[in-house]
Amino acid sequence: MNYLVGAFKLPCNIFISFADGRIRKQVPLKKENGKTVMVALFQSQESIVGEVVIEPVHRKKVEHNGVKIVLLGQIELYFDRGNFYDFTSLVRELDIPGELYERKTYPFEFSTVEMLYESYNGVNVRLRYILKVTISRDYVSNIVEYQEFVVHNYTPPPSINNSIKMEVGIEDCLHIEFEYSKSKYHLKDVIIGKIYFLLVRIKLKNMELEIRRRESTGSGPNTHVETETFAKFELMDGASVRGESIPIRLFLSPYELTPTYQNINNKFSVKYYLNLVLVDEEDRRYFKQQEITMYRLLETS
Amino acid sequence: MNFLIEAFKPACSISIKFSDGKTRKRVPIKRENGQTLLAPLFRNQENIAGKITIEPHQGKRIEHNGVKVELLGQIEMYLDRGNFYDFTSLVRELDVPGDIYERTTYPFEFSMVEMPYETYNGVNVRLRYVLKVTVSRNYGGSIIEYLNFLVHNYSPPPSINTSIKMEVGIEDCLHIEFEYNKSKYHLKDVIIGKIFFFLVKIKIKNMDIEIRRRESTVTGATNHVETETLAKFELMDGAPVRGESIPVRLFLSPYELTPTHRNINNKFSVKYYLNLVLVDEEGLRYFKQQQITIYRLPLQDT
Repeated sequence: MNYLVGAFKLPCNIFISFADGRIRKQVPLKKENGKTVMVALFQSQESIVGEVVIEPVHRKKVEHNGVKIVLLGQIELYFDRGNFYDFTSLVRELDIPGELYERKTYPFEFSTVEMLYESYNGVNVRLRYILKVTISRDYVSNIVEYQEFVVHNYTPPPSINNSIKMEVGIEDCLHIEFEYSKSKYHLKDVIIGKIYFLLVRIKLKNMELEIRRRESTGSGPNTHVETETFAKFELMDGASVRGESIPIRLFLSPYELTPTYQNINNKFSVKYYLNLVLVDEEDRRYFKQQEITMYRLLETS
Repeated sequence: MNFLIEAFKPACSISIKFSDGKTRKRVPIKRENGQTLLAPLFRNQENIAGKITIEPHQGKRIEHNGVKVELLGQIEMYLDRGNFYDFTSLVRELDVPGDIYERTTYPFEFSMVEMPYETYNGVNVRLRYVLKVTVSRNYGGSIIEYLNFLVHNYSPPPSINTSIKMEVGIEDCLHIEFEYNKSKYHLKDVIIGKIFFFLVKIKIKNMDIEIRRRESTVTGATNHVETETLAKFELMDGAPVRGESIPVRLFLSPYELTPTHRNINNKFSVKYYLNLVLVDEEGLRYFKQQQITIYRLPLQDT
């Protein structure tokens, strides 16, 4: 029985390591099986340098038609699962056809790689960056090893960041004015604001603020929109009176947010909304949704 | 008959322009049909930006499944002609599926593109960079437009550049010493040297120096080598005598040389050799080949 198991085992092990792997920041990445692994973090225009080690198992000889490493930027849509759309593909040939008898190390380098888009794991879409090492073989299947890494891109604080101020309501029934301090927030920011009741003629039970993510994939008639509620933050419990002002102070750091993505390679968009919800005693929900922009600030440690 | 021609014409014309197209240097590139055209010149890590204009013919409407532009770095082997091996592929989606009714312009930009290899047009191999615009369509067949551009990469002068000095010959028959001032030359350089005759017991008719290019390509497990003689320069006509010193002064600028390419993506190499040839009166050729390195200095394309 052991022979059978051995027959299907790969004749060699492939290890991919980054040159600065020990000092480079690692971030958690959720795999398809639900497990979380720590992977290296890069940003656009960085050089991706490292080495590939190929080690034949039990001193087996590995005949091959060449060894190559490919840096891939891929988008995978849920309805087309398993079919990756490559928007970046850079190849380095590491070895010409021949034989491997013992452990062999190949250095590789991709200089100042343009990685325009951030890694993203959504409901219906996934954007990932991988290093793919392929040992091409003639009669048996190729030996392939993947190493995923994450890309984060940073934005300076916007020069113009207007507050959001709006008066909404139902005529002769409910008039409120809400104000948020900014329209653009970084991922570790705080939403500061207030809700002012100008007119209250309905019995309100409570009020909450939600952070919602709207992920749209596809285009035209085939656009699919998925909305997730990330945070539900109670602002008020009980009835409000005219002239009352309710403060808002919502910290964003506890939530797993991403920056706003606008039309990523014409494949998908991710937008964030602040949803103010008022619930009356008959459980009717009155809400006003307001788009906000999220961006990633360079963290200075 | 005119209707038939119209039916097979593409439904629109696509033009690709670089944003700095008017100011960017252009260099000649030889097409497969033998014609020479001028193509824009870039170098590694440059931004490649511009505009794509799609213009439907005679008010035609174009239904499409999306418009995209790709920047491709490709290697094509002569033995595998038409099959391009992409070592760089960057994509920008320009438009979502829809209709184009009128002239539409799409801006595009590829930032700091890594183009590690130079454009090369050899005997058995070709390395090229293209912008490829595709208007995807369901039934009518996709409309594709290509724009070739060139990439030249530059090297600083080498810090160590030793001369080549060697004594060769046939025992008790011919002894010469040749010396070239450098082992690494830029494309517009001058090879300066001398050939000194220690012993001459054969009747030499003439002496030439040749510049030879050796292009080796790898396809699977087979290695194919092609050697071209790019220059033949007569150093001496007539018989030399013992103790004679023949000067060498060979300008490289008239010849269409490229830099030395070492193991480009494990697909091909290009090496240069100086070949010193002595011919005796019986037509026998005595030669000594010496490898040299050729590199491209900045501002050598001006």
